[in-house]
Amino acid sequence: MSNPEHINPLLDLTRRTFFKQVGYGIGGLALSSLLAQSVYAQQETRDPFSPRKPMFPAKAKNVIYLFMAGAPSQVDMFDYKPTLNKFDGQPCPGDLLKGEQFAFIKGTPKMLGSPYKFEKVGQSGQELSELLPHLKTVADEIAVVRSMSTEQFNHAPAQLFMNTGFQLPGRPAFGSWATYGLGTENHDLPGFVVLISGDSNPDGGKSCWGSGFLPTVYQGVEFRSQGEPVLFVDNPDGVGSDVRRDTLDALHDLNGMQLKHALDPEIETRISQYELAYRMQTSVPELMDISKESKETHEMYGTEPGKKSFANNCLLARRLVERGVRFVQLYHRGWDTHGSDEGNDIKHALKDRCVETDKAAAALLKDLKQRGLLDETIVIWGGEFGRTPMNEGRGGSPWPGRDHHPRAFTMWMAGGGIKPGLSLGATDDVGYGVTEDPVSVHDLHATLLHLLGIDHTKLTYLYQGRNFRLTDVYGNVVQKLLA
Amino acid sequence: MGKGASAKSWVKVGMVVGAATPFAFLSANQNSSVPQVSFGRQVAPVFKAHCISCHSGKSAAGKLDLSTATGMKKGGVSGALFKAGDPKDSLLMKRLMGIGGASMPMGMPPLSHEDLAMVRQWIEGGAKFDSETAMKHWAYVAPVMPKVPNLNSSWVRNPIDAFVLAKLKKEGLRPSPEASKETLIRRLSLDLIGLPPTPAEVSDFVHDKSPNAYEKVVDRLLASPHYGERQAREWLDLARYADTDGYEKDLNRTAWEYRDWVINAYNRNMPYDQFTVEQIAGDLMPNSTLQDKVATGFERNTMQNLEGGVNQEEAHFAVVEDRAETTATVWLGTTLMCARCHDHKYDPFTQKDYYKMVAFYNNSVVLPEGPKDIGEEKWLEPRIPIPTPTQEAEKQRLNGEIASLKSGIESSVGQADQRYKAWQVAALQPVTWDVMKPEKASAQNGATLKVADDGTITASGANPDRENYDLSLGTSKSELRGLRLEALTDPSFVNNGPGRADNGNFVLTNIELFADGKPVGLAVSKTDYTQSDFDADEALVGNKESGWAVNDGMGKPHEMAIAVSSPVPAGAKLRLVLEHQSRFAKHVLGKFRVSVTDAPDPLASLMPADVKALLKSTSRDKKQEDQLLAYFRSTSPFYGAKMREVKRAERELSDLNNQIPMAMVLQEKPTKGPLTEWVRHRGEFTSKTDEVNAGTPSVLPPLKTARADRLDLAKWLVSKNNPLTARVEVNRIWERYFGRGIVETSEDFGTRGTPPTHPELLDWLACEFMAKGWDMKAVNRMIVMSSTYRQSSDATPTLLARDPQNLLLARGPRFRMEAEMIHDVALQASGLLSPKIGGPSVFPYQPDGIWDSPYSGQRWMPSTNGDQYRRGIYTFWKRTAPYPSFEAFDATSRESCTVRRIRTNTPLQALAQLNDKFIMLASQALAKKMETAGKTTETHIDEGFVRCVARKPKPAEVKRLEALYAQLKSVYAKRPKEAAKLGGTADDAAWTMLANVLLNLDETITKG
Repeated sequence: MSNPEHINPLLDLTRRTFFKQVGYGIGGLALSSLLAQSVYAQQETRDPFSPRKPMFPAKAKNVIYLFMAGAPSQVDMFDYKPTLNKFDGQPCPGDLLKGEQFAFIKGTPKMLGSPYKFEKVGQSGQELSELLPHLKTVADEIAVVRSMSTEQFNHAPAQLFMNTGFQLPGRPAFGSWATYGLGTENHDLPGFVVLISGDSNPDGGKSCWGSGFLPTVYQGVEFRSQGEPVLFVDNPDGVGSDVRRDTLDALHDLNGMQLKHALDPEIETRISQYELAYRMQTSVPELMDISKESKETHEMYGTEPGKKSFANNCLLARRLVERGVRFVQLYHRGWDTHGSDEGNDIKHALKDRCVETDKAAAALLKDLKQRGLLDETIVIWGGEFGRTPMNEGRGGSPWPGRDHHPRAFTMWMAGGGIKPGLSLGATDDVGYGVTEDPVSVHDLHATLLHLLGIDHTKLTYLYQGRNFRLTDVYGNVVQKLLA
Repeated sequence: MGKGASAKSWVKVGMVVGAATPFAFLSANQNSSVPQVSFGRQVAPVFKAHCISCHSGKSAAGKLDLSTATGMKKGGVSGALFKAGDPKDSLLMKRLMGIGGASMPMGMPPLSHEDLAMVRQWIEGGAKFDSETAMKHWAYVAPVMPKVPNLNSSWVRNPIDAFVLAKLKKEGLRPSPEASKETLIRRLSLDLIGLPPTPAEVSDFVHDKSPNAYEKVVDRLLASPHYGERQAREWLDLARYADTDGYEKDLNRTAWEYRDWVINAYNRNMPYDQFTVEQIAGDLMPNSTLQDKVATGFERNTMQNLEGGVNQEEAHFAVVEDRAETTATVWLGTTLMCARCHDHKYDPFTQKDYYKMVAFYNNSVVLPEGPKDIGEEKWLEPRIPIPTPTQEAEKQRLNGEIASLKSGIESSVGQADQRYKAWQVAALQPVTWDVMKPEKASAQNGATLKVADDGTITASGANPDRENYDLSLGTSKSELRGLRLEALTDPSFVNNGPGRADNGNFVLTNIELFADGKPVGLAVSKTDYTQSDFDADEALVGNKESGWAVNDGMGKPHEMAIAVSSPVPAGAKLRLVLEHQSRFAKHVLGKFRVSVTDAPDPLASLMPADVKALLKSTSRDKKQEDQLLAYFRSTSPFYGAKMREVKRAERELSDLNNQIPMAMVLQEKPTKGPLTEWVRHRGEFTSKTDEVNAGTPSVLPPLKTARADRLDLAKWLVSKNNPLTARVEVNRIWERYFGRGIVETSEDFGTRGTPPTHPELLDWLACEFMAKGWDMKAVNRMIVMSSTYRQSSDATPTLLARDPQNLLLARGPRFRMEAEMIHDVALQASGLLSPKIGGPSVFPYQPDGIWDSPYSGQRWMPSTNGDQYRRGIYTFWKRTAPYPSFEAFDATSRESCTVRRIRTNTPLQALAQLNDKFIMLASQALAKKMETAGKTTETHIDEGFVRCVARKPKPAEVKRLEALYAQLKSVYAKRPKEAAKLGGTADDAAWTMLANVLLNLDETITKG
């Protein structure tokens, strides 16, 4: 602890105020892993986004996270359960219900078999359902984890938990931690970009990509499909790019005069941030314009320029990592297939969601691979929890649907350091609980950080007297997932 | 011990320290008698400053706990800490000198040679503990009023300066010169009311040569009603005030009564102890007023999880925990939340302490609502109406009126008997209806009315959402006592009508009858059918919310009979107006016919058969008699008119009640025994272990009440022996002015927080604050009156190198403003600001598509009438989608209590301040102010500068802006269309963009 009685800029740089003193522009920024005498954080410079070397050689540089908000049904898409089909329509065995909390299921529900056919595909023999014809074509590229579980069974808390490692708002998102730890490689774009399609924003709201107690420079920036791609990036009506340049030149000069006598380093930072803003005015529209992509590319993804769609966002994700953006997260909401009416059952709504996402997700993997980007990019696909093997039947609804299920669900991932073609974990005969190789949300986070070259126990931030981590006090790297 | 050995060690120390001279030590050490060193007064402060942050608490490094004498005597994993009387053989000295092992403090410069010598002497003297509590963390020991340094300097205006200057002198630094008058008035104005000064205010102050000119400005600003707005802004972050619930749907709530309470409390200079008690326990105060209850909105500002399927008991417990944690943060500067799952790792708070605090809050009223069986139960909390004095008076008046009208009806029982008897005769008279074929029938909003020979009237053609019919009925042949309206079917309407709505319904909201141009009173009506929740009689008094409607009765004809208040003589010219003004579109009568009668009871034609049977019966029992009497009263013109008066008054009352704003309040359940709570193992809601009574953390002074509730907790927080409350609050106030608290971690006064830069000053301010009755304006005044505050913020290279963070305060504060202030500066500089204080939150311009919560459907509707230009504090605060430019400038989501906003400097801020439509509107308005100020380019530029930064530009600045102006003007002269988009001519466009530059100056958004 420093003794503020003796201020000496050389000797009295304490471990905890060190970065505050050098990182003028970024408030309380401090990679406090320096507390553990790691050389890692000492690369910190005045620019919060400057690329930083990982703690150890990384397998991946970038992440594309396809977040299926609302929670897709694993037993209809990934986790084939012939026994469940056999018991379709039978009352659920009592021991499955004992001590369990459900969001909407009341009393004794009936088991619900999957109406979809499964098939083993590729050399790896990944077992996927007919809902995913396109994913089948890249089955050997992906690792399917059928043994995920979470602690939350309502959308907002579970989405926050999946993104921040904590069920309440206010903690930094995974993408914020990643950019805080590694910076980013494109200085004309933010390091953490969020793209949204589907029926609305995710239930967890903007806290899903919030920076929590980390400096706000690390929060996810939403690139919008309609209107301005980034808020306020367009010049106002009547202001041409040349006029903007003229005014920025004057602003630059006037702020420079102020700097001369105030000697406040913040002014210097501000001058450079206005320049970056100007560059973003060119780089963002250029990035968002997919019209110049080849016909083959558009066909592969199913993209239509100008549309708000998951396909367009997948293509944008590729363009973003191509440009060195560290963390790209796509949200597609609408997987909440309770079966309380026709619009959210597993016969119609689930199929519709798969049609909206399957082709583009598979195209993204192929496209990354053909461009040599898959090796250095982790692609993750998944929701916030799974769905019950039982029919929900809320209020006697005739539409087949499944309630929220935190005990067991499926995610897949591919690329940068992930073992391709892997099938990890298993669930019981009806897909209710995990029986092999359980993977928790914290384990997932620890593993992904590991692939990015970061020890999850050392990426910390001192806040309210405590060193916080993405994985809180939990998490183990899932070795079996690593290539 | 041998002197030689020890001298050798000191040489080594000298080498380590570098700057220290070993000889000074040798000479000090040659003093033959070892002076007595006090552990409490001398050693403990050194350990506390350098060692205890790692070596204390549950996770003490090396298992060495220096926070207690026991821990020190015990030592850690490396063994005993010291050998009394033998420093050479003491691990402590070896570590501090870096001999044979890790050098302490780890990774830090070694202790000063004086400190080392002192520790050494203490061990030599036997390592005696003269104080068992000396190692108690400073913040948990109550402050004692320190002696103000006597410096005999003209720079010292008040004790603040004395403490600051004493420290500067010690460091060999001098204060900076006083800032310019322009800078001072801007700084004061921004700090005290959150708005920049007007050009006139700047000029007045610059020209005021009186010795108390500065003080006059201070007092004017402290008395301004905008003072409360400025002060409240920060408190609302602490109170996590927002206008929505948070979580998934993030629905709107009405919370602004609390926000206004805070603003008013600051404006009235409510003492901080009262301010505290009212917010935590206003509902429990003796003779609690409505405003005391509004204050508990502080506690109600918690988020509320209304997502379907959420276990509401658990969700409510999260709310309760947030309340306890927020209290600890706001008043105790303590990270109590760390003790939710286990004892605090660094500070002396146990998990039991945590749940003892939670117990205070888990006894408030909840109101479960909605069906639990389908997962849609919601635990709501109380809301109460808060009428203004005018509304309260009106409410009293209406209640009185209703009571007197009702009693008027009851008191006419005697006469009632006569009327009842007369009616029994009249009601048996046949009713003959005389069809009135209108001479003229017109529709106000464009529908076409056709009159057929049988007197039926049919609407066709345009079908507007609202429509009124005006019928000239001709002359009545006999005395008029009643009116009949037939609503008829027609295949041209959906479901055959009788209405023109898309389901065939109508809502007749008003009927007016005129005889020879004079209105005829319509007393009472009866219909064959009226849909439930609607009251046909409301059409007689013109209530747009109700009237005659026939849902579930479409496709069939219906009729309505009306009795007039007093008969209209034969031969009068009749006119009938039928209005359809409900909120339901196109609910307009499609086909209808009007008839009149002279029958004594016109409503008799619609008398139900069972009533008619009763009327004809000669022997009625009591029950039957009551039934008939009730029917009579409901159809009697006399009673009908009276009852309608009652209804009208009741409707006025309900309209008034709907206008009265609601406030969210906390209410206590009437529990008898002590308030208790379960300790939850690892913080898990379902794992209950020990039960604890409500109480305060054991490291702090005890709460001496057998059965303590929130009121006791609140009073305990502001008791004078509480070591934290006053320090924490004066520190936050200090932070507002200097950009950094005396304790930088204003949210954490624990061992992991930063120690105070000026501990005596902090204690002096805290003691003074309490001594002066927790007077908030007095503290603020003291700070701005100091010389410390009045210094120029310009740095020098030496100063920057010496003290980059300005911890020593050798210069004035300079830092970027908070989001709301940037918003307000643009409004004030451009003259757009609406100075209105308080009321519902407003919706300034915001880009489309920001609000998009699932299952919500709520939309941002931009405010009008100047409300779009209200101060930032009034901007509607949606937790999941904050106002974008606020978010860019580091405003928090208000999801939980935030003490300190981090200040960032990002390109998104630049984009927002350059391109937001809000800023462009301000740029245009500022341009107008500039263009009309004086006649030259220079006077225009001067005006803009003064409005934004309260000073005239320097020649170089004028020159640069003139060049920009010339350039932009020539550009826009060639682009008239673009110029028009910026508000007019090429000249206007150039000034707009110049104003845009001024609003983006670093100086404009910086408090310097």
